[in-house]
Amino acid sequence: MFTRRAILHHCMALGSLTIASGFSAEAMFAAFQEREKEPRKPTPPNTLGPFYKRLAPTTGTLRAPGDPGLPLSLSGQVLDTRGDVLPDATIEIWQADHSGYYDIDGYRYRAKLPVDASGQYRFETVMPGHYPDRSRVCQHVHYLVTAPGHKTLVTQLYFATDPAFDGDPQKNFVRDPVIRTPELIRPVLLTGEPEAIHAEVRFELCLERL
Amino acid sequence: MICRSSTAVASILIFLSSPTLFAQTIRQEGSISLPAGVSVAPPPGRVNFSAVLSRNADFLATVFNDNVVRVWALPSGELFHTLDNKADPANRLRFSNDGRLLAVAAKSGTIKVWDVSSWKVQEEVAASSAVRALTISPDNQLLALATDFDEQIWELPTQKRLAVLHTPFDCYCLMSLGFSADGAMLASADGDTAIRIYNAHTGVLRSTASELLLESLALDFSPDGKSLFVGGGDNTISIIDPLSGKISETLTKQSGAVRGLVASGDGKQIAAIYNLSKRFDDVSISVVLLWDLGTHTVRARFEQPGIAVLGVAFAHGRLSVVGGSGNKLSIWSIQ
Repeated sequence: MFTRRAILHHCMALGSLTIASGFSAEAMFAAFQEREKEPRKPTPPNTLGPFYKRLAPTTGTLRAPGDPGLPLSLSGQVLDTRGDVLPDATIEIWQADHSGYYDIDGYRYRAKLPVDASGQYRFETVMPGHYPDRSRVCQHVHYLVTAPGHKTLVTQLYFATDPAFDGDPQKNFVRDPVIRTPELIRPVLLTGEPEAIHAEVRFELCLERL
Repeated sequence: MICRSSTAVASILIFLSSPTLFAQTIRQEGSISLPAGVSVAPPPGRVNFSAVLSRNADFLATVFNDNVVRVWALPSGELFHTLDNKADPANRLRFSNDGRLLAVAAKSGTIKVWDVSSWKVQEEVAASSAVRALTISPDNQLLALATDFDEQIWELPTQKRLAVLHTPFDCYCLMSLGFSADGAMLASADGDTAIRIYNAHTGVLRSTASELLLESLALDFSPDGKSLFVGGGDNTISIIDPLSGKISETLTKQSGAVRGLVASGDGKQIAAIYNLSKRFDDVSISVVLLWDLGTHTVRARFEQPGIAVLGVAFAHGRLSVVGGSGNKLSIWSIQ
């Protein structure tokens, strides 16, 4: 099957398409691709609080050596609804510790980080615990994502491995009344030796333009 | 069902050392049994602000897990009105300061303002989405509400929206709103932890208190409008100058978040509800502290294991406290 780009190339080779302007072929393709970008759906918002705390430290490392809990790497890319990378975005996350408690007095498991030039981010943390005695509140990490010229995103990341979903997050996400869409539930990749398992989760973030 | 025990003097008021300690008693004024299956405790994972006291403690309005709004006359506990709209259940309630009006916000964003005496809808406005907080101005002319996306000021007699106040982001969070006693100022506790003070009639921002680190869950102006009391996740009550937005004083930090607070009519005391649970939305372990604003000391502490305190109000020379557990509500007074 030909891609639209391949069809364009063929047309140009056969002389059935000429470039009337002063643009090069590559510039034309770039402009074409720009127009052809599939609009992306913005990441659904989700509840902010009430544990948000201002002035979190700028770091990608939330997990201290010896911290209990499953080591967890969170990574992804920040884009806008046109698929453009947002290299000026900043991501702030906060979460409960592995026992389900937030640090109110300090900044344990709270951090913010600017993304890199390709919009990528990475945090090293631990898998958050369930709130004590609140099994219906699923494990989650809060996100606050800002980027100039874009609508600030407040959302949460949930984990497909959460026992609360009984292996079927698409169906059972409604068990947590805060989760309004399964789009925020992400697969968890477990790596490493059995005695040193590490979890990795990709969470792409898509912001709306103002 | 109404039970009265007006002579019972409870032992759950603890006197704390204070230079101005005076004799106080606590009485259980009555109790209310809710219908079978209705529970005071909120469903897990949900914050419950479904019980509100009128400022003069003459009425209590509740909406629990059966989604029925009930208005109770206090202290008798007599059921005054019910409102059962299962198609669009209520999620926020607020009395006017004089107790004459009750604003009932439904999940659709429709707010009906009921005349409590006649139980007729006096006004109706429609917000764009579910309401997180609402309040009525002291002269009953304005209604302010907060949704996940903005805050709005409505003129009730004309049902005209006067202003839309844009919050820093769609916060999907708890919010708190309050008018000053003269109706000139509207204070808003926003998700970015800032307190914003607006001209209540125009929506023009007058000042911003941006020193707080954690979200505020409750606020109230002093009667003279010179102070704004704010409490929340930082477990303290901050006293803010509404003109400058600066924190002038902070009361001693406690071990739980401030979930509700009200200033006394003479401006000399604050009653505050603290959640002692590590979870902000777990109201099952709560305590009421009565603060003396002259000395910044706690004059009294009300606590009863297993009782979720739902509301406090200064009225008739005493502090009224409403709380409950299971399907029973109780009303206490502290004199």
